[in-house]
Amino acid sequence: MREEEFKKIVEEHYKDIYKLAFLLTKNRDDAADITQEVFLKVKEHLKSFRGEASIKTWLYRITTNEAKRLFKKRETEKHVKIPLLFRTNRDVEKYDKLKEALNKLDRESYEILYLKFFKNMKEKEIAFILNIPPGTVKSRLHTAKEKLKKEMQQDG
Amino acid sequence: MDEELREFFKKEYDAIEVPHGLKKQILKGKNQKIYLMAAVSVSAFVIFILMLFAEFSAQFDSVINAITLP
Repeated sequence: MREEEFKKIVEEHYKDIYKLAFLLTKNRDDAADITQEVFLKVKEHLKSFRGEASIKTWLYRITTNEAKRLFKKRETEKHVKIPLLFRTNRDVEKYDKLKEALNKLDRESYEILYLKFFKNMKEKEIAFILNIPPGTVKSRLHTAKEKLKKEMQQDG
Repeated sequence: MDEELREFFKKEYDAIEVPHGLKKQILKGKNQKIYLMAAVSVSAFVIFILMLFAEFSAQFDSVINAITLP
């Protein structure tokens, strides 16, 4: 029963988790390691999962924690590094400007912008994932956007 | 700004290629851990049995010596 449930969770979420891990670490090997670690933790704690959040938000929480642990270990969490391999022809200048600005953001700001604007997560869910009070989500989001705007103005 | 961010993250996300075999690795990794735990348990049990044998054989030796010496 649990085995089947675990397999289903892996099948449904491993790609998404790998992509989140990659966006946070910018490294394929680290992202793969984090993904494996996330699912090992899921397997270990699946019995105790009480369903207070959805599986997805629980997985995101473990992923961001694993990324944090990795950054702490390597002491490189000051800046997010975005690889240059994802260049597109459309709106290159605008896109690069945004990319450069995001590149200068701290990891926490990048993380919260990703969860809010790409994953369309609710503040309550973001609070659970990042393990912060719901009130802090709003302020952190505001700060992240302000930082991004500032970076874009400085660049441009 | 919000829309630009959404578009940016979408492009980045879509461009990421998930390594082939990652799913297998995840599922295998889990099994490997179980096998490793089983191997450790079996090894510990075998060592315990061998130690018991060693202990008993030493005792038998002393019993045999005690009988044969006089």
